[in-house]
Amino acid sequence: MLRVLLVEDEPDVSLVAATVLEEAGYHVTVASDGYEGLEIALQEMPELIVTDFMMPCLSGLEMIERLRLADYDRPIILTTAIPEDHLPRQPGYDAYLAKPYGTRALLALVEAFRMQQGR
Amino acid sequence: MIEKFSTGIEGLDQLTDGGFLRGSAYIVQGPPGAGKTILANQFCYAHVRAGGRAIYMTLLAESSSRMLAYVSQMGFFEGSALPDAMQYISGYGVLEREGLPGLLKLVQHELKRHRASAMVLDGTFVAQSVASEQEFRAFIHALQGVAGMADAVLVMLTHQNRDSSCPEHTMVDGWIEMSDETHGFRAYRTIQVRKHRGAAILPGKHRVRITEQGIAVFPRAESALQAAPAARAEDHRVASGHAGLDTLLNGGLPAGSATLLVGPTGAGKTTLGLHYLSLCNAQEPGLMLGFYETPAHLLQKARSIGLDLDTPVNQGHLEIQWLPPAENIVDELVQDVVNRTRARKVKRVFVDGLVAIRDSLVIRNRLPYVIHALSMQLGAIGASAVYTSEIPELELDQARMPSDELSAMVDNVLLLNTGRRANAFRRYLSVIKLRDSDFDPRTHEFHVNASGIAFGPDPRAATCAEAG
Repeated sequence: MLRVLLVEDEPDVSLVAATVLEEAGYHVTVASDGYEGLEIALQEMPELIVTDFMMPCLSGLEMIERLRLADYDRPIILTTAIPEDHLPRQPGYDAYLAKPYGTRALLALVEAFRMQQGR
Repeated sequence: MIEKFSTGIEGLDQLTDGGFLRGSAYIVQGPPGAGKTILANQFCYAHVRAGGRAIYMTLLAESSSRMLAYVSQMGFFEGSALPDAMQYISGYGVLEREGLPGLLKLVQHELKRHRASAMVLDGTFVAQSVASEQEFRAFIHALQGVAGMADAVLVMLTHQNRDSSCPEHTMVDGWIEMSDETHGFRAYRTIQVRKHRGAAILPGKHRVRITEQGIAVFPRAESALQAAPAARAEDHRVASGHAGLDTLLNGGLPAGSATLLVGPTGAGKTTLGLHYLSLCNAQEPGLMLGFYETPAHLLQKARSIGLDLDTPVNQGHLEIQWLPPAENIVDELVQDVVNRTRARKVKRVFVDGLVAIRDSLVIRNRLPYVIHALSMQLGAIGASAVYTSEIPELELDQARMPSDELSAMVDNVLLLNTGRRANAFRRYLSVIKLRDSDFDPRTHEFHVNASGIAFGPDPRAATCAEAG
């Protein structure tokens, strides 16, 4: 079962996304800010991370930067309401999903990475 | 002197005497749909445009990204401000896990982390629901301290209807109440600055409109415009557009004055107004505001009585504004007339139909004060205003003004009356009052022919009467 870490500070988005992914058969761990996400990611090494950008304490991009420095090399999906061309030029993430997103779009993207990893 | 940050809403800046004070905390209170979220976002983007940095922290469970999607459709939105200068984050999780102390730390931390000088806390009532009254009071007090220490403006949004006896209102620096009210079938939004430390506010309720450009606040004309200099710029006379009337007026209307043409329907009020506008030119530009007859109809009407309004309109010396006589925000309309007058250096203003303005007012007895404020402002700009007001048909022999507060608020009053005599419809004109001036007090019969207004009985009526 693919383990997904969902890092999201908006509780309703977090709840819906986690439910949908779990119903699709993924094992989901939830973190509500970048620090918590970083901690869990380094501890559990999930196969995929779905993270928001604007979060308290540590932003999604800051978390990604630290994860990459710590040699976390698995795919990361960045979700945000900010248009992609306004994001800082320090990618680190593998896919961008514009918020508010539909659950089908989220599932399709996660599914694509699952297939890529041959699971 | 403490620096003020513009709220991003011109009218609200007027109400608050310049905006929010740096290092201060504000409560914006109102029911869902009153416009709090838009106001707060508008403030943030205005703050960012002025070089500041802002954080919008929500304590609500609902998604701020959805809110951001809506906000991005509005005129004040600035996508390039995200994410550096403008941040949207949720404090809900921290509040749930760590309560008010955790939230307080988070607010402090985020202000410092983003070097923000403005922060919105949306859903303050949620913070209240997780704590006792005493804890909440301490939290508000601490937030106030945080705002002061961070040198930031903190705006707390809440949908709770808390009154002035609630402790948080005594603690914060400012308290703004927004509301969504109904009067009969009409619904309207208002805003009231209930408290604002260190500022001369415009008290009372003021109207609000939400458009795609964001919130617009229209300070009540009689409170906002009273502040304008009352000095009348000139002391000469302005031609009324009719030589015979100018003779009755001892040379015309006093420059910068306000004139009321009052009378029953069909008495010739609009016709006299068209005469007044027919003299518009490059030196004396004009502005007409009407509610009943469209510009095309008015131009046709002017042509039919030999008055040329097409030329000044085509040359840009006369602007005709037409509005349906429905639910206008009068304070917006008055401000618009003042702005247009100032922008085009208008000298001749004609407002046809004070009844339409009165009927747009939720509190109708505001009309005399609104018109007085408008006239004062126009006079200060150097424009002379002519208004028409309809009253029921008067008794022919009783050519006196009915008791009306409105007449007391204007400088000059002309009564245009109608009546049937010798089996014919007749019109009469009387000057009732003229500012600081003598005038011909007699009542004069007049008629309207192919050349406009002419004094004396209508020859056709005489023929008719003889025939009858």
